[in-house]
Amino acid sequence: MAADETNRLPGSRELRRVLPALPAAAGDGAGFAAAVGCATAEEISELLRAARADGVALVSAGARSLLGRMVPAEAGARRILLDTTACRGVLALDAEALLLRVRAGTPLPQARAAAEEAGLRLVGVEPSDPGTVGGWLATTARIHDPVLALPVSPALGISSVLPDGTAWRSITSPRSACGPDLGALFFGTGGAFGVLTEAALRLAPGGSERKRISVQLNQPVQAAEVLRRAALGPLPPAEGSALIWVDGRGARVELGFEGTAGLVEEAVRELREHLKSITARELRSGEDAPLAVAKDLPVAGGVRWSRLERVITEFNLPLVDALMLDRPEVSGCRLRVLGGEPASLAARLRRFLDPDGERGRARAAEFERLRRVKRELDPGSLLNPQALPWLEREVLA
Amino acid sequence: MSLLSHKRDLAMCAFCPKMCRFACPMAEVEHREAVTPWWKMIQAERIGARRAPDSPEAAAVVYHCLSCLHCRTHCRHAVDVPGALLEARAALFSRNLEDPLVCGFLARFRKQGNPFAEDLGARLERIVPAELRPAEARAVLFAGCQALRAESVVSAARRVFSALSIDFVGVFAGDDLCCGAPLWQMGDRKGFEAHAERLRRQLGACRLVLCLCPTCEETLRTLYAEVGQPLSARVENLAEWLGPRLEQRTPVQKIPGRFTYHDPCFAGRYRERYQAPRRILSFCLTEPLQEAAWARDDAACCGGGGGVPWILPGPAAAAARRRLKQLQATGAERIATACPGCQRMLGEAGGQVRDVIEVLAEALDGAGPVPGEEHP
Amino acid sequence: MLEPRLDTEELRRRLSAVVGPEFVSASDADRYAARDMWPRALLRRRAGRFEGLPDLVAWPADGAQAAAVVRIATQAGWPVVPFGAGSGVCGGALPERGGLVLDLKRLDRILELDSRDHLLQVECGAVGENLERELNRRGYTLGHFPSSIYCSTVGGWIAARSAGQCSSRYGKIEDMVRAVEYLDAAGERRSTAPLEPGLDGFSLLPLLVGSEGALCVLLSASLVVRPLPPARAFAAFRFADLAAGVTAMRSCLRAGLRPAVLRLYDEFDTLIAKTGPEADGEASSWLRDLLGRAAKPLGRLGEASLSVLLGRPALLNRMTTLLPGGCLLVAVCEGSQGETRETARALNAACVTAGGEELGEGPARHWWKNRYAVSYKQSPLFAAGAFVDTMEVATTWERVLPLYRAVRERLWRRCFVMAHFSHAYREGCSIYFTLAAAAGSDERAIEAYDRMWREAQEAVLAASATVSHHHGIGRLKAPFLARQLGTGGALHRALKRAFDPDGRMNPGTLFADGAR
Ligand SMILES: Cc1cc2nc3c(=O)[nH]c(=O)nc-3n(C[C@H](O)[C@H](O)[C@H](O)COP(=O)(O)OP(=O)(O)OC[C@H]3O[C@@H](n4cnc5c(N)ncnc54)[C@H](O)[C@@H]3O)c2cc1C
Ligand SMILES: Cc1cc2nc3c(=O)[nH]c(=O)nc-3n(C[C@H](O)[C@H](O)[C@H](O)COP(=O)(O)OP(=O)(O)OC[C@H]3O[C@@H](n4cnc5c(N)ncnc54)[C@H](O)[C@@H]3O)c2cc1C
Ligand code: SF4
Ligand code: SF4
Repeated sequence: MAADETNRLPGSRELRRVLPALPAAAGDGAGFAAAVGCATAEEISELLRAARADGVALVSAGARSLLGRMVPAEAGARRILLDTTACRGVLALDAEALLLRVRAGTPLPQARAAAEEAGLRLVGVEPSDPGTVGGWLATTARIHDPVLALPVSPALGISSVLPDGTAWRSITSPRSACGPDLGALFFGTGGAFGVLTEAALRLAPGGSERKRISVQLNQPVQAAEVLRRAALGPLPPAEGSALIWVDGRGARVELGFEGTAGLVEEAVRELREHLKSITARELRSGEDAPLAVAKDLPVAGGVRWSRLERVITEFNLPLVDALMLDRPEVSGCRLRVLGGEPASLAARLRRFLDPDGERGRARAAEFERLRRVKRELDPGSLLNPQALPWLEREVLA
Repeated sequence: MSLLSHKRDLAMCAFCPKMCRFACPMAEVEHREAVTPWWKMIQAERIGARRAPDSPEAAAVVYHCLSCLHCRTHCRHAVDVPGALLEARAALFSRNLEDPLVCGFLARFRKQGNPFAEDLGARLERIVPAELRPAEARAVLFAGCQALRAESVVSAARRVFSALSIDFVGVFAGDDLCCGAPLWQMGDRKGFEAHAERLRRQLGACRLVLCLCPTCEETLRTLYAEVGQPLSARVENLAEWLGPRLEQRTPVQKIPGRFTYHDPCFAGRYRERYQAPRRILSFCLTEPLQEAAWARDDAACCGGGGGVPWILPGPAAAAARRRLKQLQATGAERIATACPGCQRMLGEAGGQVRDVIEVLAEALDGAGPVPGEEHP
Repeated sequence: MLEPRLDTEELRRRLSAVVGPEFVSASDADRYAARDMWPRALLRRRAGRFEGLPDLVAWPADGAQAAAVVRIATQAGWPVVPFGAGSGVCGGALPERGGLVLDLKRLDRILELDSRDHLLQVECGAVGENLERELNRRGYTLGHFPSSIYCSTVGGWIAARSAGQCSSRYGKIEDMVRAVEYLDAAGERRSTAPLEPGLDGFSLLPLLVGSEGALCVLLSASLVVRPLPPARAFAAFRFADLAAGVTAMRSCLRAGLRPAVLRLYDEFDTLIAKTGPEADGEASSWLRDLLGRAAKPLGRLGEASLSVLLGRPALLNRMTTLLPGGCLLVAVCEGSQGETRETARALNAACVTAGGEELGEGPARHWWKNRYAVSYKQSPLFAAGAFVDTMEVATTWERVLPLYRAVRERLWRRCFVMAHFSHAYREGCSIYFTLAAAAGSDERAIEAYDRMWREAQEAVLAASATVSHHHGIGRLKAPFLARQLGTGGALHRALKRAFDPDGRMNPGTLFADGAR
């Protein structure tokens, strides 16, 4: 680590001692006072302690696929970038307990490959997800469990270094009743409560039977109903999405079932029965080329089934080309919009869904509480100070 | 009987995680842990063991029981909670430790020998002509205080008798028109015994006593024997007794409308009489009964049992409202029951309630509904 | 902790002004009865000791009243103990520091039931069975069936992260809950925003679920319900040993099946599960019958009293290793006709492949019919002078059997141990140990009880399993949870300070603070 970089941290004493021993971050740490790469929890601990002693803020980074947007350049200049990508590698794949133990800096594609090599799949990770395991967990509070058709936490156990530099390893258990789920402080909180160093991620075996079904519907609202029934059906779909064109071209639903042959067959049978009753057309192979939709559509919200109909029938502003529904759950699904200026559309749709701002106020109150917890653990807000403000802005935008 | 004979029951409840609490109407309407069957039994045990220094207000929880026996439906140990609590009340009474509310009520009861402190004999004279009130009869209808107060069901019974040409049943018109159950419920065993003895004598050579009220029925049949005053007469419930007499009959006029049926505790859980009243109703009604989600051995109490209305009218009325809600949830417009006490409680809670005997009268003679009872 | 600034009478007066005089009580009956089902407290009661009395009990009618009550009490420096139905078994609802018990059972209304979204909005004081029956009447089920469903509340479930018997299909309560309305220690009334379907943003909800009254008072909750299943199928299997049974369970989950019930019993629990439904009141003849049947060599011992038998746990435990019966697995499948049929078929195949012998429907139907019977079995044991408790722990599949063995070995001389495996997930499952013992006197029983728990939890901690799967922590496990958390205890403390800076909410529960 070059001496002139540590010089940018006036008054630092502990850091001056620690930083030179740590390797520089891989790639570019531009904009930060210093950028170091830590390969172990011990190194991270030492760095955190030193930074805390010196009152210097620290930003943990994975592959930085999102980070650039979270940290304004002028703020970076007084902060140290802690690159975790050197803390990488698959530790163990437990095919019996369906767990993949990985270090947090492991790139998601590498983790995915390890799972696939064993004939398994990482639950909740989409093929296009970039970044590292740590970055993914820090931005993902819940994943969808297709078996329960409800959300569950993205990891069963974690190791992390807390803001004061102490290392903590949680227990790895499928479920527990041990007070509040402390994982919630780490999942989807942007790293505000610690630096993740390891995690036990959920794996799923591919079902013995798989079947994809594509359907063309004339009435857009029917698309939501098809998804809803699938989520409540005999075998909630491993994948389910609907693209609804607002120009009268109707809608297209795609469902992927995975499971035992009997259950897949039963799910398909129930689906077809429903389709018959609404005179929808199932697409034959060849006709059903997967829908090409940009992966980073802005998310407009998670919408309850009962509200979707209104959205579909009323929210067809000239700017919207289509609505995309996916991740069907028992009570609703995710909604995204295509067309026009995506971000402002998404914001308008959010206002449409929360006209009196009730939800916004409840969310703000949640963040207020979270900030209190943050103050207790990290009084100077020295670890990832960007995280909570950014998350809150995203949510309340 | 004494609390000692409930030793096993008391021990079971003491360590039970209150499994029957969801069914106990008092626990449900008062929301107090102290009135769950669990705690009431712990308190009863303490009374039995004369554990000091339980304050009178602590002991008073044993009065918060409707004797409805709903707890037993969900007790795997078949514990008789109301039995033990009645013993506890008796123990308190015998030690002059009864709740002040009990003293107040007993003073009231003693005025006219019934809980309404009213001259029920006068009512009886008004609604039943003298020729139907023979001094000596082999078979009598024992109306009971609740039915006499309400009047309508007594008139209905007369109409049923006449429609079925039953001419050998007179209406009991002795000095004591109440069975005395409230005395038992308050723990005044001596008072009850004296009452039982008087009434037994008044019933004299009677061979058959037909009851309109299942509480009277249980009292005359079981409790009188328990205090050494067994009746020589057979005690039967009127609706049940009428059952076979309706075979081969058809109603003059079937009654329209959606009805549900409320199982009185003393008819249902105590006697397992679930079918007889339902058969009468299906005989009378054009539409099938709308059964409540809570019915038969799971029917909630109307709040009228255990003497609770006399001393704790608030919780009793709340229990009635709770039951009424369950009955109304069936979508039925009208409620039938087979107990004048239930009819009164549910009626006061705002329900449209008829006794099966009233429904039967209307169906048998086609002379229109029995004039509705007035509620204060 | 600060001294309360108001005396009891003054507090009672102020609370009366909010809830009405009949809904605040300082009476002995209400104070004595405000306690949960922690077996240690039952032993103390059996010994004639009533410890941990609140000063007052209050029953607010709604959220607004509850908020005012909490505000008045905490501002005056009084501890507040939220109280559901007191079926907790860990001393969570036991006001050992006195103060105010806030009984929430008047908040028992169904606020909304949305049939399209399958969302139920219900107040937290609703008692389980009454709620479930009302849902059934309207064509739905919550799918949450703890053995204590008759005697526990929605708020208690969420506060203690409860699990029902059908958790493999419907999940634990934390899987069903989408939002809560709560009060913090200052009496501020707040709601978490409902989890948005399909979205993965941060929510405060998982930090409130499981908070056991030590962070907040839960007022109402939004829960996912399901349509009442039109079909149900039953199956049972016998496995030569536990390992084969565990393999069968694991492969069912792995295949993505959603059986409502999947329960595997160890050899001794198998015998208990198969015996008649009636838990009669006499000194637990069920146990004696079993022992008689299980082992002829027992000879004279078979006639000994229950407490004498349980006083020699090592002997009893040894006997169970000689039991011939194998391990019973009962399964119940439900859902649409088609799903039920196909799930049952696949489940059957998985069990047979794992070496299971088909026993037909009988044992599973028997279990279903008596599925809450177990909850009545504690009384006869306590009444006979013995004691019993249960320990529910969980871990990942590869560690399940080692955990089972470790606990048994550790407790071999302390208590009689049996177990079943009743909440299975794709990644692992829980073990539900029943621990029974007897000692010469109640005071000695309390010592034996503490020792038993200490050693049991030591074994669990050493096996890296979770110290509780669904009963929660309360006072009983607070010190062990602190050890399980290790350095993570700092997170716990931070949460506590953020929600309850002055430590008014249910002090001594969940967060070990050295008291006791
Ligand atoms: C164009 C694009 C847009 C995206 N938009 C979003 C979006 O709006 N919302 C969203 O949730 N995801 C979004 N993602 C996905 C996001 O990139 C992933 O969540 C990714 O997995 C983050 O991983 P990373 O390694 O790149 O994290 P980074 O970008 O390096 O870091 C992201 C956050 O996680 C923290 N972090 C990283 N590593 C750790 C660690 N080991 N321990 C603790 N904290 C850590 C960082 O401090 C930072 O707050 C987007 C991705 C792309 C490519
Ligand atoms: C026989 C028996 C069988 C059992 N079986 C099961 C089972 O199968 N599965 C299972 O999960 N549990 C079981 N339990 C444990 C117990 O029933 C559960 O823990 C239940 O969730 C407690 O609910 P309750 O309403 O009785 O809560 P209580 O006992 O009153 O309280 C439990 C804890 O939650 C807190 N609390 C209660 N209500 C609120 C509220 N509204 N807001 C904030 N905090 C609150 C209390 O302060 C306390 O810490 C069983 C218990 C018994 C006695
Ligand atoms: S009556 Fe039965 S179920 Fe009710 S508390 Fe007593 S033992 Fe338990
Ligand atoms: S008899 Fe009725 S009121 Fe009395 S304890 Fe039992 S259920 Fe409750």
